[in-house]
Amino acid sequence: MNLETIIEGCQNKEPKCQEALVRLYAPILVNICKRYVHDPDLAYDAMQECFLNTFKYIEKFSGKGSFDGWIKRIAVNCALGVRKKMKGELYIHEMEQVLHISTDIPDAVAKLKEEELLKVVDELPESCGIIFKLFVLEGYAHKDIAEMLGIKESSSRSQLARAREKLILKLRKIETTEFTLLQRLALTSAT
Amino acid sequence: MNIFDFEKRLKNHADNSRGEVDMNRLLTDLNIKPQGTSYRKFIYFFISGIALVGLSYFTYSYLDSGSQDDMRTASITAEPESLNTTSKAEEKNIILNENPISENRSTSTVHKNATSSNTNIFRNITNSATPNRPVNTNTNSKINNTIKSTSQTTIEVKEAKTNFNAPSKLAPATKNTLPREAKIIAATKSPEPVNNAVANTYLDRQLETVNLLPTHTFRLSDGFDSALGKKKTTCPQFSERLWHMYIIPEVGYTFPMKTLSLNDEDARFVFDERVANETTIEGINASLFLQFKNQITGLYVKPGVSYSRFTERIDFVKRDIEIDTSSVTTIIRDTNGDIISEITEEVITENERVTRSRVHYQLHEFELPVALGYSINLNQFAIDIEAGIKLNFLQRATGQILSTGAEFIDLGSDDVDLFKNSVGLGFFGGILLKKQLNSRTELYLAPRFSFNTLAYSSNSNPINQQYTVLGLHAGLIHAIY
Repeated sequence: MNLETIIEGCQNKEPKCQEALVRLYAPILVNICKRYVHDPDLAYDAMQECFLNTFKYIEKFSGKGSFDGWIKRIAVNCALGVRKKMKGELYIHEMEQVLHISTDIPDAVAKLKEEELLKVVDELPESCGIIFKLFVLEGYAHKDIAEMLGIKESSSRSQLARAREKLILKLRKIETTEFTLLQRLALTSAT
Repeated sequence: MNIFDFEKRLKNHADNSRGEVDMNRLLTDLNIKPQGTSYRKFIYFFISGIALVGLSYFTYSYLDSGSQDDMRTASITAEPESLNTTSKAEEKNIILNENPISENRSTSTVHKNATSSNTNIFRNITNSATPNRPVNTNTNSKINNTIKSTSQTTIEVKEAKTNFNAPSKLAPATKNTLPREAKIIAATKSPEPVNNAVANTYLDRQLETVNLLPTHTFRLSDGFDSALGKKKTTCPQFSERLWHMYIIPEVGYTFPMKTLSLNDEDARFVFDERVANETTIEGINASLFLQFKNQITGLYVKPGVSYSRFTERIDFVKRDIEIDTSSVTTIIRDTNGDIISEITEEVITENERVTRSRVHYQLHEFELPVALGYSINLNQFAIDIEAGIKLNFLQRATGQILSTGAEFIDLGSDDVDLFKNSVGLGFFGGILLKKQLNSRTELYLAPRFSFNTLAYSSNSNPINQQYTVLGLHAGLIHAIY
């Protein structure tokens, strides 16, 4: 069953097609929801809400754009909605910030696994962390992010710059820590 | 490396990563039925249900007809007198109550045409009976037989009255369209003249007999009428049901005790191996019963469908001797290098090769059990004692079994026929210890035994295999009405 058939079936409310859609997208959407709602149960709820909205509004999907993008957008919106319910409105400083440090990061980062890198991203402050994820991981433009979060486009840009700066500093710290450990080990062996 | 490379790497990972989701839970939460095995389970359950309902219906009908027969037999033995014809008023009543007749004929028509031929169904039924002619005992008993063979007692009594009131011949075409009871009456040859007064007495007694019938008979009559699309009889309604119906799903863990016996001495090695090393490791059972329980006596009948599986395991050690033959040639030469003698010897080496195998096979049984039991109530607890018969209508064997030649053969292949396709009749009995959960539901634990009269193995199997099964079952009794 290809995606077009599944979408057509879902538009006709055929349970088989709805099931196929769930089986196809649930593993992807659950990851998206987990990025914005860290609690697994809440992430599951967000994903469930996403599917309910998908089935509700799929008739309006014209088929012109990418269905992948459409359903992912619903998932992100649902996840942000759940986050908002739990933690309240996302507070974003209206400030102008540009990246004024070097974009270089240590090569040691390449040795880290992706899951570990995502953990570093998760440690970012929530306001800039969410914008970083929306921009980098989901691939949304600042205009879209601003629309989704109800902020100015310029704020989205400055928060991204802030997130990058913090991230670079964090990644450099990893390198420094590793270096210090190696030095200590070398000194211990020499003595 | 810079931050943008880092971001690309993250993006790539995010696009390709897949999370783990409990798909069944999600589909259930979204109210979408999962495909696959659940459908199959539903089909199995549906077929079992249909089979169970059919079986129960026949069992219930059989039981019910038995009780009616008893009542009617009693009335027949007490009724030796001859019959008489009915009055006009009674005849009107007959016409109004008998559905096929009342559809086309009015009361007055019957009377007006009473002497003409082949225009009235009553006359067709009567077959040359004349008014005011007494009926002999032979005819009377035939009428009684008619009454016995139907569950619509009220209607049949009135048909009997009709027989002696309208004299005419039976048209063959009409005869074919008559109900079975009418045909029996139609087959009566030249009934004797009857006396009015005696016939009335007889009919009164018949009606008394009807009143003596147990309440559930009336209820069933009503249901039977509606099932056939006939007009309903006016029957008394009772608020208290005599028979209650329950549905009982049950699961059990069984301990099958296997008995092997040798039919063919050629299979002695396999037999010894199986006796020594084959173990029954488990037995499971799942059943669905319907129970019909008499609330006054506590007696019940319980038909159902049942599935059981026995798993057998054998640890087989096969020892083979491998013989390696090698030749050694010794050549003796003189100082000149010429060969003096050449001796070739064969060296035979015997190596023991041990192969250990652990192999399983399963016997799957599908059965139709019917139990009769007695229930003793002790406040919130109750004890049921029951015994019954079961018909093993389907048996399948899967896995591998040790066969002659010390080889394992696949029981699933078409050319292997070591077990029967159905084992036939068996018996079972047990005690149910019940705890009431609420007004409609009880939970029970039941130790139970069962055995089959015939062997599970087929005639082509050199080893006879039979089981006696002890089991511990748990189930839920839910009252339907």
